[in-house]
Amino acid sequence: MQEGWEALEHTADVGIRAWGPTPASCFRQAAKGTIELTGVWAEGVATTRLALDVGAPDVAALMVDWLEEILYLIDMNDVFVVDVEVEHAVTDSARGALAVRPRAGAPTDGTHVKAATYHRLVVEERENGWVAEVYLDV
Amino acid sequence: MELQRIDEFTWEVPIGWAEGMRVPGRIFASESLAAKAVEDRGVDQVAAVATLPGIVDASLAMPDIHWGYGFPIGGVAATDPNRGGVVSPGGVGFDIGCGVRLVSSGLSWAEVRPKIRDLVRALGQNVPRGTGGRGAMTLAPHEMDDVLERGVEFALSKGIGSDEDAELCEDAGTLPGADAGAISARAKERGADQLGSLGAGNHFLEVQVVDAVLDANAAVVLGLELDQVCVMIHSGSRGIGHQTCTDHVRTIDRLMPTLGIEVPDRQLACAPVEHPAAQRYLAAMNAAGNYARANRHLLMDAARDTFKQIFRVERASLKLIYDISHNLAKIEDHEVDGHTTPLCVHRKGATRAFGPGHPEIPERYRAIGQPVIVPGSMGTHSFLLTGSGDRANRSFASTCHGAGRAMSRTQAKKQMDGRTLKRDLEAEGILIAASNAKLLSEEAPYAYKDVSEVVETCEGAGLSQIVARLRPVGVVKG
Repeated sequence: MQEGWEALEHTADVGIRAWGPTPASCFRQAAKGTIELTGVWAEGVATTRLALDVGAPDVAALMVDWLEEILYLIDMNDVFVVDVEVEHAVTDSARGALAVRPRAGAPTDGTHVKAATYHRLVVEERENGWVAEVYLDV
Repeated sequence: MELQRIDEFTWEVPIGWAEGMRVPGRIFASESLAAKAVEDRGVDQVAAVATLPGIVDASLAMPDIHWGYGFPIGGVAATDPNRGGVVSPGGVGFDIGCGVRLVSSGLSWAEVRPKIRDLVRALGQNVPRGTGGRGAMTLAPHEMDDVLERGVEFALSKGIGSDEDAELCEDAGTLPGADAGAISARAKERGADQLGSLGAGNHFLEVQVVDAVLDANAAVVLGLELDQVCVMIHSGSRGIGHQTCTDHVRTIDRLMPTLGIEVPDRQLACAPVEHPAAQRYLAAMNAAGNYARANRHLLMDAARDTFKQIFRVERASLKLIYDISHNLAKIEDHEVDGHTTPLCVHRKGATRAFGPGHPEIPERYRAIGQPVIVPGSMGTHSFLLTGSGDRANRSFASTCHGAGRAMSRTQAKKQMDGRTLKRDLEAEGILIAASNAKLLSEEAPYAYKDVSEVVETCEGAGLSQIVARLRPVGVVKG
């Protein structure tokens, strides 16, 4: 299984399906999908790394917390993200970093994502790798 | 399984639609709106909410129902705290206290029309907006706590607005029971520089004209007349509300295994109202709700400044008609089996609509019922309603909150690009000031249900009455 992500339809909000051969790749793609939807995924040279370090009682809750942490860092630091690094992602903990450059209030074409939800939340290992489905509140 | 029609505007979701339903679902809808509710997952979510412990009578949905997360949008659920009733933070949602305020400008369309371009341009410059955008005021830590616990009263203490502005808000502008200590440091950090900002998504500030008065007596009481220019503001609690919901859904989700409660969707995580975690959530929710009210108050202040700048009128000539929230859970007295009972009423995309005579309605409006403001979407009408007394018990005194989405954002953007939509709306005489024209079509009128059908259905179901219809002439979007 290669890694990737796609948007899921929702009447008011938006979902993402992310996949990859390992939990780390699945977490990276879910992060990338969320960041692309918000419109702050961009090319360029990173000037800073923002650390990610989350823990949760199960892998599904871990995914929600992982995406929440990313939304918080984007919101508070006003940045474009040029890469997501995932050091590790296991059942109850995920660590990595966002490689970012300043956005300085530049407009984006993305959807305003408020939060990650537990609605119809799926994070599981399947025959060929890991799949996550998460709905985001817009 | 199919919806069972009870009367012209009422449909029952029978027990058995979803496993574990404690009560049936009840949807107030016309035939076509009921069909739309079945098409997306809204009805399934009504059934899922019916599994919540302590739910009373039925899991309800208003005519603007559509698929949400956990609760449907348009969902209303009342639980009895004395019978194990729960509160669910997801049943209030991320934009805690989101709501609408309507302000009369005191000017007629004939007076405003020659300067409408200048007005919309100036509002676009003066109203802070956009994703993560800074607001009119940056708060010191002690000021943040003050906003969270005092709401509109905080703004008045800074000399912004008058006592009348508080009087004409739901709860007189301050939700009781708010505790700034129940709001996390991270939530306060996110909200510190956002007070007085519109945000993005479906939030807006519109210049509107009263183009039909359907209840002349109520319109007089509310100070509305034909051709009057008004300002409608739709916004909420910004980042502080999003973070507060996230914090408390997480806490309660992790508490659930110890409570012996199972829900069909984790976003419905809940705890008995009397549980300390639930009490802490309610204190935080009320605090974030106060932030939302103060936020809309400051946005109104920006509108007052702008009208003064363009028309040389006194700021005080822009008068607040009412301010309501459509994402809250409130402890209210309702009649259950002939007894007045305190219930925890969740309204997720639904508006409180007390009937005439209710003591929580401002005295000057008490005889006509609580005002309810229903925004349309860009290019469509909005409405001012009042709560009906006669059949309000059917809905725990609730009615609709808007048109309700009918189409996903992706589909809406595929149908038309934002710049074309802006051009088309302007050709219809609706001027647009948007932070990002490309994103406009996410909120296009065709992405929503017919708001006229929604409010007429509410009237037909006895939930509320239509007082006046307003048409947009200028839209400021985040």
